[in-house]
Amino acid sequence: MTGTGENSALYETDAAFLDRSALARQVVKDTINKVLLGAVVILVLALPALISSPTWLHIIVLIFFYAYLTTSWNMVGGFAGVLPLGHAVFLGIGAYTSTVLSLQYGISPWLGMFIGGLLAVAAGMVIGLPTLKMRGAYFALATIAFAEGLRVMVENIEYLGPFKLNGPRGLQIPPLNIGWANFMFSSKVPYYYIILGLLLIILLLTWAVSRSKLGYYLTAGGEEPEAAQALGVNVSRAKVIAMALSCFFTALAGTFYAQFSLFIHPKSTISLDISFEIAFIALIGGRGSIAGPVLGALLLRPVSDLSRIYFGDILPGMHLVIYGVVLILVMIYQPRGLQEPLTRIYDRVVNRMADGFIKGGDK
Amino acid sequence: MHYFNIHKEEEMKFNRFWTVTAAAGLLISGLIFTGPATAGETTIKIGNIIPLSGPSASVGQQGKNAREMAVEEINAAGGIKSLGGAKLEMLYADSESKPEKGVSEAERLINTEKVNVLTGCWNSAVTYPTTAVAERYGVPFIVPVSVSDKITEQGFKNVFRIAAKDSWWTRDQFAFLKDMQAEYNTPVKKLAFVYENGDWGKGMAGQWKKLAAENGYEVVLDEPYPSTATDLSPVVQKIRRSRAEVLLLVSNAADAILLTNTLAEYKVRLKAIVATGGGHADPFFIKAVGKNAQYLFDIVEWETDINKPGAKETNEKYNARYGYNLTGEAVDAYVSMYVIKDALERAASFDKEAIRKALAETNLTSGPGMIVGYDAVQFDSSGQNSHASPVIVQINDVGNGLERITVWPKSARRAGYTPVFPKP
Amino acid sequence: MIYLIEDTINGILMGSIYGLTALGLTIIFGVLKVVNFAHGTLLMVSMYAAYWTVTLSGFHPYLALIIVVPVMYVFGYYLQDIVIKPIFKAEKNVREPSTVIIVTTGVWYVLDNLTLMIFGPQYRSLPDNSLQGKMIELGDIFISVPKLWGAVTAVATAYAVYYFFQKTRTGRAIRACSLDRDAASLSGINQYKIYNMAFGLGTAVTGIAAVTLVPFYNTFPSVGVLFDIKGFIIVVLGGLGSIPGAIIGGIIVGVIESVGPQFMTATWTEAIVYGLFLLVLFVKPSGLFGVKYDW
Repeated sequence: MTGTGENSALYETDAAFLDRSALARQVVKDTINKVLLGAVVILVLALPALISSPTWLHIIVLIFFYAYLTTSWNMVGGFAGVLPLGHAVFLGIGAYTSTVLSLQYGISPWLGMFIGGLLAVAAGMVIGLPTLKMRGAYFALATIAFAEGLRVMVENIEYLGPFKLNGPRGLQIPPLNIGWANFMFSSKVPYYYIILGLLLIILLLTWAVSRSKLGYYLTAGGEEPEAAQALGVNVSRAKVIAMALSCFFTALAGTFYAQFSLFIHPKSTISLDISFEIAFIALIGGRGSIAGPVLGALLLRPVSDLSRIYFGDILPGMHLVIYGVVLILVMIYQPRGLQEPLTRIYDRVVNRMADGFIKGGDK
Repeated sequence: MHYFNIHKEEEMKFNRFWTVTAAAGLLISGLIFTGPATAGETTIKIGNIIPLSGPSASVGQQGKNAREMAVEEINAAGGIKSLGGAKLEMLYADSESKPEKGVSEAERLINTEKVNVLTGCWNSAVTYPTTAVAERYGVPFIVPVSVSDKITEQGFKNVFRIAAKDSWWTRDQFAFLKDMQAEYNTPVKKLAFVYENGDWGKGMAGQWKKLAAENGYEVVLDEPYPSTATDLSPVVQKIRRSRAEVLLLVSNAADAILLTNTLAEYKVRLKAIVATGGGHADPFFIKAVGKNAQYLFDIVEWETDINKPGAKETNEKYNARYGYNLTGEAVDAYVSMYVIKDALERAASFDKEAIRKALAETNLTSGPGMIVGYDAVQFDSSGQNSHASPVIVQINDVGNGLERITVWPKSARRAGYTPVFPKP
Repeated sequence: MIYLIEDTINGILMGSIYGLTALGLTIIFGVLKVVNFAHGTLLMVSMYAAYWTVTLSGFHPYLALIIVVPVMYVFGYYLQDIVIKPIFKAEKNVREPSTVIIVTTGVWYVLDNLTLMIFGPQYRSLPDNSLQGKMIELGDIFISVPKLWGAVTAVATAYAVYYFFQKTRTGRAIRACSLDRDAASLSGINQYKIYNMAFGLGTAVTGIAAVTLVPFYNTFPSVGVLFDIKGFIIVVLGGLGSIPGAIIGGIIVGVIESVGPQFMTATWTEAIVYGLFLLVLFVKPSGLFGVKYDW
């Protein structure tokens, strides 16, 4: 790359020199990025082999679960720029659909999952079509009301037509037929890979949407809706499509949750706590970005679990105080989400590494 | 607001960014989750999953206090002698009254903390799936309080419940009513059922309906209500207008207070009100409603004036420490510790299966734990304590301020007290 | 028929009180354009303040207003100043900073659980006081005295606040700020101070609501949660930012809750309230009295 004395004539012009070294740097940085990415991919794929404790695995599965949920939330909460605060309702629709179908009719949960997704889209359209036109608080409140309203209804209904919902007592899934056909496993490892797969799918989808026309429309609609509409962009339709996608994928996670924890009841699945947590994680990580929600889940879930584990029994409620303080601090100092400062730190680190390699090559 | 751009650079950013955050997150989690590994072999670890925050925090705390007191006594008396004086070590986990938290905490207590026994979880909805976790890992699980029938009907081998099943509670409530009608020559025909619309309330109400049909009562009101309601006057109005003679209630703490006060405000005439423990048995209930609670009947596991040796002293000790009396649920938590101690002594082992077997063979009839109203703790094949039996108390003032007085079964009635029925 | 009248009266009384609890929320939303998720918690804190004032001093419950209102005003003022203002400053160009929602939820978690830690989970209600349990009996109809007081207070407070916003200088400055931040500050109004005052005012009004509730309701750490969601529903029903809307919205909810159970079980009336809320959102999102602005 850099020469010894005899070739120095080639590097005399500053501009040429800078060009060359900038290019060199970029190549080195790309290589570093690829290597790191490869390492992480290997680590993630091999994780279950490295961790023997099921509790750890359980916690990591939940982290991925939330990362998945927040990324699909991001489709409508980040890209479409609205604030859905009742998203757990779609989780519940997915969970109940697949569970009822499998318990009562023996239909495979995989199929039930798909049906649940479609039902969630229908529900999402019901709530979304009128309210996506409104911005801000109205949409947020509408989603909360819809979620709570549905929860109250499920809590009070034993049977919805021929389907047994069992009201507040919930539905328990007996761990009988183990195997992939039934989405039922005795160890946590297959669940790990399933949620990992789902997470990768949603990340790829998000990335694809961001680069597509839909993505353009959504950004335009978010930042300058009047201008976008003047240019002929159908902002409403774009938002509705984003909502549909988000609802569908959130419902898939509902089935996963049902099959993973083997017990669902209205307060635990269609819960405002879960809805809020999803939104907060996405906002703290940085909504609108692709990796923000995942980052949020990776950082915030351990905070919530750890503070409950270490402080939950000392002083009642202390862990929630800590969680609340963390939320406040992050939002005051980094309202765009933590992905911004973290990306900068990463860039600096990689730049230094790249410089290190280049200088090393000099010698 | 939107800051994702669709340029090539961002594509790179996405790649490397996802990389670093994933790595960082896993690294952090990794460093932190190297929690405490193995249990020492000189203590028995007992994991307790109870609601320490959230709407049931009050009862969760009482359960914790009762356990603490029992364990202190046991350790002070030498621990488990057959295990060389091994002490009991208590770990508490907050379920926040949420099933998924109960399940995670059970997983953590079993796998990371390596507990030998679990107890919990007060809320039936949390106990139900959490016992499934214990069953999967073969860890014995003692349920002191949760009454939902199905907890011991899951076919599990590791679950042992101390309290009576809710079907026994309802059976005894109706038996009490029958006896009262006979004793006071006052027939009762019309019943009103008012209950919180959760798992507990609906379960009780289902059985009330069956029992009412079997005994020829007329149910003039069947009213589930949301426990978190801010105004219960519409419900009270319905009770008033239904012209019921006896009202049966299932309530949590806040709504018990609200209902009792509202019933008094609206001067609802009833021959008797029979509650089902829970909110009505909360130590703060009487203080919060005062005179409005007079003549109320309640069914509980235990009452402070029970005629058992040691009951009074234990209650005084508890009250001196914590500022309020033991309740039936607290006593269940208390005796559960002694049941564990007794089983450990017989098992003489740290092994889960040995402990489980010893628990299944329990026949505890004496000792500081046996301040309960019945004479023995014995678990049937489904894990249910077959001797558990509740008592009925009446709240009345016999000169010492309002207190709860045991009235039924007649054999357990406090000496010198005549229950007031019907309500004046 | 008598039953219907009795229930309707109870619904109107209780509903006015609900409206009063929601009034603070509508003021804050109307001016700051933020949904204050800590609203329920502020109500809870005010209730504790009222409870302790009455218990320690033996005053008539409504006399506690003297202490509770200023205390809550200051509390709200500084809450806005310290916790929420930094976000407004950071997101100057955003019309409705949504991160405020998270921050207020953080405040909610912190305050609710701090209260749990400090005061414990037990339910407290005022011992025999001159209002508790009193009823007026007109034949077969019972009217609850504390609720009557509460309803009167609610209407009086609503009028006072309305007058404040329409006729006084500060009130009009606040309204100006809510319509257009930048224009207002060009006219020499310090917008951040205005926000602090508005938040303080909203919290003080919530304090009044707490005083009306304490005579007949329990005080415990999670009491705020019950009124929180209800508050949002009422405020949207009536129109975000509309003062008469809050009271009327509250009355509507109150009447549904009181009259509904005569025709179905109480648990279904909950679902109906949510359903009505959604209906309003779809049909007339600005609410009954709301001003439609550029959504």
